[in-house]
Amino acid sequence: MSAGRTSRRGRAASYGSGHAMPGNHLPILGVSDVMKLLVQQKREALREGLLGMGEMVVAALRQAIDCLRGRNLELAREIVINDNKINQFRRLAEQQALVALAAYQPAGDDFREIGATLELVSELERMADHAKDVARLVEEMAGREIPPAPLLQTLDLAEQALAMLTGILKAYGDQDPQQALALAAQDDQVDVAQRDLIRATVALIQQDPGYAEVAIRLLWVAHDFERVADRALNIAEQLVFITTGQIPELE
Amino acid sequence: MPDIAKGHTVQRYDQELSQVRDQVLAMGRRVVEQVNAAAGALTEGEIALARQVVDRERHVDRQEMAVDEAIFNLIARRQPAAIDLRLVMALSKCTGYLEQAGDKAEQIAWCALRIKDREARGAVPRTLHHVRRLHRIASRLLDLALMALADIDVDRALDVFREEGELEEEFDAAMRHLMTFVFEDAALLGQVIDVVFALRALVTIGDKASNMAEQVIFVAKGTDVRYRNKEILIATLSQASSSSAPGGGPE
Repeated sequence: MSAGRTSRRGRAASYGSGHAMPGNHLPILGVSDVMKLLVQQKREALREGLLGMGEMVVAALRQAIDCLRGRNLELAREIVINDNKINQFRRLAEQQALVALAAYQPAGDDFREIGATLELVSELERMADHAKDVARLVEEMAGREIPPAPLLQTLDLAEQALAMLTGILKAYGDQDPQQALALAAQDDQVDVAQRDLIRATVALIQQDPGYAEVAIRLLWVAHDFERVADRALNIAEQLVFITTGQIPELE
Repeated sequence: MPDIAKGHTVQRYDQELSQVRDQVLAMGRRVVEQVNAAAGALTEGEIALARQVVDRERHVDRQEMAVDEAIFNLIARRQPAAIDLRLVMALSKCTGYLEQAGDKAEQIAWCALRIKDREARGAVPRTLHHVRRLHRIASRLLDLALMALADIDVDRALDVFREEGELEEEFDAAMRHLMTFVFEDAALLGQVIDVVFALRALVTIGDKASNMAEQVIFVAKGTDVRYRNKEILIATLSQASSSSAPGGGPE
């Protein structure tokens, strides 16, 4: 479930190890204390799972960018194949979150994070779908010349979106809403970059209609990454909701 | 005495579940309104209507969060049996799909606003009949999916699968036609791009309807059909759906 993460933060390994000292009292844990600790552990396990899935998705998006930059069709195939693993992971995480809800009956921020996990694994899966879509578009552009200027603009936009996602996932791991909100502000830049790209592409096609099919596919690649940025924004929103109980107005 | 109490509890739970389902269907009706309004705003050039769609999108998002919270509360407090858990999860996913469809409706409204913004409206009406055709298909798929969800109606869900092929066909035909405009008159390119985005959004709305139909099958048959071949599925279930009742027993 934790996808290779080795660092577990904070939790002391021993809860009431119950050493009986001769003639002294035993440490006593009430049932509710045990439950709270179990919920905490479960919550952290789900968080690690989510972040593990996040790493897989970031890797897929990184591959998508490299795939576009290098016009690498083999990489495109790999992205499509790996997508299944991400989907499987999502289903596993989903089941675990559901069981946690039903078994531990969490409340407050525990409840919110476990519920959010359900929502966010879906968002991550959709981001991976965008990576797969970019791979498909690269395949569709195979053999055709891509004008360098819009390509660079598209790659730039993609890098911005990926940086935003990476940063927000880190903030989620740190359970730091301020960090997340600071990054969420970058969403505007991505939108502006997309509008600039559309304008540049229109101008280009007007000069040379032969570029039309390739250029429109570049616009769709940009659209995929703009959606990634939007979804990263959702992660930030959920983090604020988890930690504060308030729904932020981020758009 | 325990039987009566148990019966009362189960009844109340069914009522709560029905309420959640009704909330989802209400959200569905709102999304259908949004989609129709946005497509209408685009084809008729109605600015005010387009703005209204944009303004109302927030409410759709709120509805989604409200339903999700109700669902997670249900799971946390009630410990549903296998079939109810499937229904509950399906409802949660459908709200997600509906929210995405609502998002697309807003994007279509933005296309309408941008197109109206431009000077040369001359050729745009010739492209708009594609929007009308695609809207008709997407809208019907959405209606079918909501009908399927309302009663966990497998036949309705299968209707969605049967008719969804028209979406891509119509989109491909539209793209071919629109490309000729680009070559004919480069000044129309900006509008064409907006129409293309609107058409893509309509296809995605149809995809969301398909996703909802998959959830209905999942609930009725207890199998995860999200990653299967649809033709085989339709063939198998068409024979089976008459002989088995939906919602039969835990898996």
